[in-house]
Amino acid sequence: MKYLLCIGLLLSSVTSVYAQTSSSSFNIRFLYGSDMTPPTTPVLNSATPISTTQIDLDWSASTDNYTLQGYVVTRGTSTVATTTLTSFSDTSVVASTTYTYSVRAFDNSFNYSSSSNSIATTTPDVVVAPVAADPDNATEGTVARIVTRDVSISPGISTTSLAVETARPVRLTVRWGRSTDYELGFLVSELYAKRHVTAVTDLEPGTTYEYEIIAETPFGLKSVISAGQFTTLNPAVSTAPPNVVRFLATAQQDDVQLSWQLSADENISFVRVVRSHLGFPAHPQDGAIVYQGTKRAFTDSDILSEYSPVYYTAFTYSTEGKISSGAVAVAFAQSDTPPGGGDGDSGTLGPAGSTVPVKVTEATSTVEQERYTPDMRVPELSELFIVQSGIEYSFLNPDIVLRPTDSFIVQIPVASVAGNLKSIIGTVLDPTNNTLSYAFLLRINEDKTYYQAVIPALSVVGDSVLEVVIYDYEALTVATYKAPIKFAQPADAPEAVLFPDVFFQGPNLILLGSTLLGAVLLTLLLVLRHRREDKGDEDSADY
Amino acid sequence: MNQLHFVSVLQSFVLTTLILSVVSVGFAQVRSSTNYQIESDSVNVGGGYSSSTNYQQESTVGEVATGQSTSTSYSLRAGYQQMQEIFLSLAGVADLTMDTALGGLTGGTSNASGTYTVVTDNPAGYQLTIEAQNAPAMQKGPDSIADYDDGGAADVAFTVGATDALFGYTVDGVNTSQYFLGGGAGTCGIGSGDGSFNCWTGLDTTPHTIAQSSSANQPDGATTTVHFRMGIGGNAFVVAGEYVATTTITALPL
Repeated sequence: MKYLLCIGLLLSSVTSVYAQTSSSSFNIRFLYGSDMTPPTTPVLNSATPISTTQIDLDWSASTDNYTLQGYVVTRGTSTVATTTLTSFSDTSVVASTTYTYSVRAFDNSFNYSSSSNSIATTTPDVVVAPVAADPDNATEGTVARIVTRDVSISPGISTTSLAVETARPVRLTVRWGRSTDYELGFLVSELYAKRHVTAVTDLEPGTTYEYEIIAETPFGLKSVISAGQFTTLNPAVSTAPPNVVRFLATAQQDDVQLSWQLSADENISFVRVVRSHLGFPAHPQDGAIVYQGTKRAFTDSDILSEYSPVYYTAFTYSTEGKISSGAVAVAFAQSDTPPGGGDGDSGTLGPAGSTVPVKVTEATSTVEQERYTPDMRVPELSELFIVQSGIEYSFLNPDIVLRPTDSFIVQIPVASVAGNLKSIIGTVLDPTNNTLSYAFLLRINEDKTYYQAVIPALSVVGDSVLEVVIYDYEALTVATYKAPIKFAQPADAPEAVLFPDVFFQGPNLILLGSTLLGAVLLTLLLVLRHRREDKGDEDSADY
Repeated sequence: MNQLHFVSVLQSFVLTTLILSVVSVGFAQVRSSTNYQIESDSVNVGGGYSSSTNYQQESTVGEVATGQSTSTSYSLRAGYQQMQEIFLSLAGVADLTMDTALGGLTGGTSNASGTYTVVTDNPAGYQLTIEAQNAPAMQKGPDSIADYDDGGAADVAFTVGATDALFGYTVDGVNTSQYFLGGGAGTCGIGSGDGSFNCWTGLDTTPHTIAQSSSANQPDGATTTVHFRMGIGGNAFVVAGEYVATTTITALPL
């Protein structure tokens, strides 16, 4: 007994969590009253005449007891610049003139430092070029030669950045176009500098452009230092293809009939259907793969004799290998009662066939208090969004009208949902058949900003409801959100679209059948009459 | 104490010592200094040290650590001693300066914000706390500025009377403590609604939880922003000068 006690005490001590705590202290400073202490005095390091019209200054940084705000550059008795930098190029000078510069620093209480040391400098009267003993081998450039240190061109989608570095200060002209005529535009830098960084904008994605960079020295020498081509980038391909449409799982004795429709997106390569009896598969490897291909239906045989319910997720794959968020459906053995009885209040994962959302007239949200804990974060209605064709609707928008022929995105900011919540499912009620609904997983997008589902076009018009349910790690409902939505053609559409689901139901089907039958009979009648006329003509010819 | 009892106690002691010695080998050691931390030593059964004039080599046996990989659904730490210790880091802590120097007849507010990132692979998550070194937090020699008093539940709005000078804070972030949530709906501490610059309280010398999560968040981590605010009423008496609140942020695994 004593041994057991010793061992027990020992084990209890060594199996405790072995982790570190991270702790850091810092100071928060607050000043009450006037800050009377000025910054330290800067030191003006140089004032260099670059050309007849430019003098470059640079100085050492000041410090302040509170917040340094910037510097004032003085030429003679006049202020020529206020800047937060520690350099300045004065281009308001003229040739053959002497200028005296100084700098003062100031803080955010507008305490000014003493003036720095002064430096006087004179702009050249005429062009004076540096001359090397051997112009061809000069590393710093000469009056006849510009030495280029670096030319860097970085194409973007609609812009291209250029960085040029030369041995001595130059001014740049950049020209570009679709041909070597450089017909599209040009940039001219104002300053002489050793390093220039600029950008060519308003370019077309995926397009090759010709460019030319001309450098001009303060002495008037112009030279093409770089010419060639750059190609802008193509924009990123859509991150995820749309989900399948109308994904349904129907029990047929022990079999499950799965059916779906593919959206019109030409980018879709194939569909993978994954099954699990634990919950909706959250990704394409999260369960048994029961189907992969391009068909629109599949029978999962004899599965309900083993499990009930069974959960299915259908993922579409784009030709680039991107994967949709997933459309989901569930099937129960016919002897089982679906949880919730289809009233939408089920506590377990069971949309699509078992819990059809009920229409609402305004947005609603419900948080299950018995499942909610203080460390959970669930969104407010204003944090759920529907996006279609670049238009974003909050769930609080009382008039959400969507184009029936376009897909739309349901999304929630990642920051609005606690990371420990298991899954989010969005369900759309079929506007033309209120006993059917179609459900989709909201998965985190590639840049981890939103939980998203791309819901494909249902191609039907009418009133509907979008329901979003958040489930916890036990697959129990934590929060439910509903928003009324309407699928309608825009008022300026040229004509209404015939929607198969509407047209091939009830009286419309009879009307269609009658019309087709009439057309066939009329055609037969015309053919018979024509043949009789032909026969009459032949008989006449024999005569 | 009879002899039989003494022998029994001695046996217990010997057994405990043996177990402790075994466990101390099996559990390895952790060493650290201000510059490094060794999470796991190992007792190897091969390898060794060799050298020449041009190189030196320390060989080991039995340490094939294949590293860490993650997906949206799992975090794998495969290999020898990969699961030895929970990882937790806190970044972003630095001194702050309130943005406006106040004074004069009208008073006003002055603000500063710090954003802190916690990264942990602890499946039980983490807790982030804040505490002040002094009460009140803002001190200047013998003078101080009072901490914001929320009366036990955070105030939706930072409220300062004409004769008050108060220093408080609120929190934004993905794992914000419930104490600072609900301001968007009008009541702090109830519901999940958040909003920037809602739900204010004052610093205390005991730790106050500002963020908490019950899951791992590596490699991206989770950020929490603390907004500090000084409010000075138009008729408040405050001794002029620079005040400093020495504050501590602590991240601890759950």
